[in-house]
Amino acid sequence: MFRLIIFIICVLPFFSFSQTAITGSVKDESSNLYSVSVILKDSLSKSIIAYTYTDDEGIYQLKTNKTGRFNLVVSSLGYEAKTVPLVLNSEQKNLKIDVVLKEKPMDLDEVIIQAESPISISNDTINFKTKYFTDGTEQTVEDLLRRIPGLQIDSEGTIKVGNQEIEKLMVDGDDLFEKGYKILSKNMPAYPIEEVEVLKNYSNNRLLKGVEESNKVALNLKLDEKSKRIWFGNIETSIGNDSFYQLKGNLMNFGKKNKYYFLTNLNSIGYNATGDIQNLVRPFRINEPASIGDNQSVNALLSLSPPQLNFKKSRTNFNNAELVSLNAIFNPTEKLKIKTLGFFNWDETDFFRNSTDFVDVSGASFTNTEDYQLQNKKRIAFGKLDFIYNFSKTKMLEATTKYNNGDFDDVSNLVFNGNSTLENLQHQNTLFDQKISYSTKFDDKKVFLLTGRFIDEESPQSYSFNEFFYDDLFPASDNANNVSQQSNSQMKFAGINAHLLDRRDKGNLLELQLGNEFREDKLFTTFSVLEDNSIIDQPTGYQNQTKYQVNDLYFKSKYLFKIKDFGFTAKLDAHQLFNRLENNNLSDHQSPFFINPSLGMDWKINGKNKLMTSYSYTTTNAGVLDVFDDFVMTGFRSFTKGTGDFNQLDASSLVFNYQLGNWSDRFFANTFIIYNKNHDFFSTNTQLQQNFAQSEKILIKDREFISINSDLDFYFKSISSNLKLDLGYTKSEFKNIVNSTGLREVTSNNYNYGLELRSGFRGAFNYHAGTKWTTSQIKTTIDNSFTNNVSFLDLSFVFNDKFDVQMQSELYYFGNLETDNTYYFLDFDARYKLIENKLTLGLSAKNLFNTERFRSFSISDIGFSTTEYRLLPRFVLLKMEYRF
Amino acid sequence: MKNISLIFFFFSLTIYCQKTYNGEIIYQDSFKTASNNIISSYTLYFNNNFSFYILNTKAIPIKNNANGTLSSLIPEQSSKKPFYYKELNKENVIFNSKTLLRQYTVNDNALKFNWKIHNDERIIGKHTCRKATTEFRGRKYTAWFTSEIPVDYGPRKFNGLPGLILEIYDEKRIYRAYAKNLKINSGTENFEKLLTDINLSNSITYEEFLSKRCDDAIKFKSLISSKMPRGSGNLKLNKVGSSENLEINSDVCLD
Repeated sequence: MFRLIIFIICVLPFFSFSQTAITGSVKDESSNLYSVSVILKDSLSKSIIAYTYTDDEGIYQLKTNKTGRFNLVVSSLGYEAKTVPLVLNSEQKNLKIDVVLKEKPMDLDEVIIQAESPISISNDTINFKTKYFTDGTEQTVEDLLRRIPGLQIDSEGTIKVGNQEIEKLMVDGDDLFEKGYKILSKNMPAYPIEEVEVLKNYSNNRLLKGVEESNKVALNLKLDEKSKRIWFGNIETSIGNDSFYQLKGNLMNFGKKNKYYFLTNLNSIGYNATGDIQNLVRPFRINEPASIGDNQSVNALLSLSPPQLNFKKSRTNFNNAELVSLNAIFNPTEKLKIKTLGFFNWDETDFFRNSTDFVDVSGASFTNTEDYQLQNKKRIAFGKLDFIYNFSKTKMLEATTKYNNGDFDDVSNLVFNGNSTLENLQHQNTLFDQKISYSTKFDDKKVFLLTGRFIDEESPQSYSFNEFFYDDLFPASDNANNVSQQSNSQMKFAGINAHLLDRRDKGNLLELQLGNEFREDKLFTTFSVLEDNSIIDQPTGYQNQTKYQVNDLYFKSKYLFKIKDFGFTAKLDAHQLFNRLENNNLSDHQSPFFINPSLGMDWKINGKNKLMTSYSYTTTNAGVLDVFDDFVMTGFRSFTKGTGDFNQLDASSLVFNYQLGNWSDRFFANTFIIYNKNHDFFSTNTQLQQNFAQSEKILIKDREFISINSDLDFYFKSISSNLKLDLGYTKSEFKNIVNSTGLREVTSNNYNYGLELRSGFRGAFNYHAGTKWTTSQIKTTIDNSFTNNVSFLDLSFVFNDKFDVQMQSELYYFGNLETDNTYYFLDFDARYKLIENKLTLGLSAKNLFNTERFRSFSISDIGFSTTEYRLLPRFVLLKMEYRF
Repeated sequence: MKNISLIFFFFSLTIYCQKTYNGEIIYQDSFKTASNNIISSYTLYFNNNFSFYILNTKAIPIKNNANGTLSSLIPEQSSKKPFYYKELNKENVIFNSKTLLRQYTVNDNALKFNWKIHNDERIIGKHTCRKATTEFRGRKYTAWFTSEIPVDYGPRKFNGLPGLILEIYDEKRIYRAYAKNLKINSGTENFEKLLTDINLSNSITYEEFLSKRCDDAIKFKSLISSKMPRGSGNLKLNKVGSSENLEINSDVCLD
């Protein structure tokens, strides 16, 4: 024992520093074996001490400084592995072990391995298990999605799969927001999410999946079990000079069964918050099965609302808006889903305009000036209830009920040619909308949908104008000093639609629809001439009692098919109409039949060239505003009336599109040509005087419209910037009558040419500059034209992930204005992330040059006008956003 | 005739009389990037001489129908399938790789895997696998290899273990490849013909490739950024690489 200890003490130092080299050759019966694996393992723990492969000569060499008992395992494919036990001690500097391997026939050996995959793909669903992609630094859903392969999230938060924006972002299969999903992705925390699913070729109706033609993409977030009841959200406050402010808040909770979402927005900075939820109120869906009645709404006669400007609307919108929205989804049973949505919106907006109209047509030459101040007050309450019942995997019932109630009070102070006047319009809107849709999938590739819808909408209006300008129209009303009009527009729609979708071999799709849609409009108007508060006349020819019923029995067919690189779409719609019109107790009816065919083709010539073209012929039935018989007042100096008769209007249209290159190529060109011919169209016969215009609809033949538009992109490597050219031309021709001239032809030509240069620099700084000229010309008996220019320069400084600054400047130039024809605007935005994903500070300044008025110039077929708008003054907002 | 005998001569020289065996392993290869080629199926063909890891199909898993999608944006160029070629018992790997603009054949002769072999064992399929770890170009990897298949091959560039790698993943699960299907066969098939499609000679070095990748990324991102409409932010010119590339240490162009 003692000797052993002495031995160990003496030998140990040698042990640690000694190294043994094991060498040898590996052979089979006949020759040296190269690339044979040689592994030195500890004989007990089996751990691998060293390993190598034999060289071309079949020689190997291993080195180790360990001692003890080992196994040398020599193996090669096709040979039986051989294990050589050996003992290494410190004295052994070299050890030679030659090995002879025995052949071992190895026949087909196939092993299939099952394993959990972080990504699994089944048909059109890609499932990502988030634990494989996250590292814990993700805060929001947006951060998480950034880490999911194949998803792109741009600086605005728009989520794209490839370059296609997603349709919706669902939570456990429930969708609250539709296209307004950013509210969710920017605010919901990432940690409860276990899986992310990318749903390709997505269908809003689950039974249509794989049957309808869809290239939509949606995302579904699956929550883990323990995240059942977490409340989260954000709050953003902005405070500025002159009491400009904005307050935004979101609060949500997604339980397994019930989901809640609350939103509020209060602001005075011209921001229209209903835009955020517009998608929830009136989903905008084109060519979606079971979407009958989407385009049915009541037509209001009068409106006192700011005009649509080709200018940022927020600059002229003096507002004070309050919006609250409450949404929830309940899943009381596996098969039943109930969604509710409600919002309340109060808004008070002011709008200011000064305009001068120069009119010069036969029989009338005058100048009107208007100094116009408009105040709109509105209160809107909206509720929506969705009810979805799944009978089985292949049968489903959906019901949607909507109710809207709006109350509007519009007042305008108008100084017309020096006369101070007051316009007052009070109107309401009530809407009840019920839709029921039943879908059944009766074959793997065949779906049948039955949809019914009922809509009842009413819009009464009460209009008064405290001046009487119409002596020439009503010469008998001597003492008249004001006018009023009471009206009620009512619409009832009832429709039923049966829709069959049949997906055939090679992806061809046949769609057949049979339906009947009935619409009844009632338009009652009473126009009164008053002296103070007493009615002195209700002139004949200015009172309407119109009832218009349209019953459309239709059969629609559509076939989509592909031949090599060509795709074709052929459509044929047949309509049998039953129209009934009752004007002031005189009734009439007709039952026209027509067919609307259309044909489309796209051709992928090769990777660089794509061509798309389509032709369609359509017949459209006249609406209620085309058929009433007597005049109605549609503004303080305008009266209009319909034709008093049935009409169907025929039109042909041709669209052509050619793409050269791909968007990402250095050179890319895209050209659109649209040609429209209205074989019949509604025009006007107008009696025009300084104080009023009275026009009636007339039916005219042949109107033409052509539009050619071309975009070109060229990227300059030398300056890392892309040049974009935009060229457009439109020409339209129509005919009308003004002051009994007989038909006069009106031709308008529009040219626009613009160019833009945008940088793609690596550094903090980038620019985007552009300019666009527009030349418009209108030719009739007179010839008016003008050229305007809009230019912009945007500068962006991204100093780091936390701090960035954006500046936007614009210049407007009006060629036909002699003075005050150039306007500058400068906006500024800065953002600083104080705590990543928690607290962000911002500074936002609008209209820094404090431009108070904006004057624009426009032309028409009767003259030209200059219009001046009052703008929101310069304001600076300090913003703070906090997430919880 | 003379040529043929010459070929036979060389052929027998290379092969000696050693029995050749073929292996065909199908791997699911998933890799998180911002672009689209992520979950793919690769096959590792190997024999005693070399291994060849190549994408099975064109398989771009996320296909987009819409026009102008970003996947269609990434220039298709002379898109050859990505492959990795390695000879047995040699460390360097010849592979092809796309930058955002072009495709290159690269000889990565700077590979050095300092594998640490652990005693943990796991059965994959029917093979006993052992755990090995390493740090390679900025990421920490765990590999599971089996010495029952005594070759030093593996997915992509990973190699140099005393047995075939059946699964490998990094700590953050950015990359993962695992064998789904193993076929070991008597060497009837000649994999040499797979090599006729590719050009192993005309390669650039790894360093050259890194700088080209940088240049091309900057050019591409600049091109796309400059085409965005008004008001939209520029594409972020991130670190080329960071989370988008397996090899972080090779990030030389930062923004």
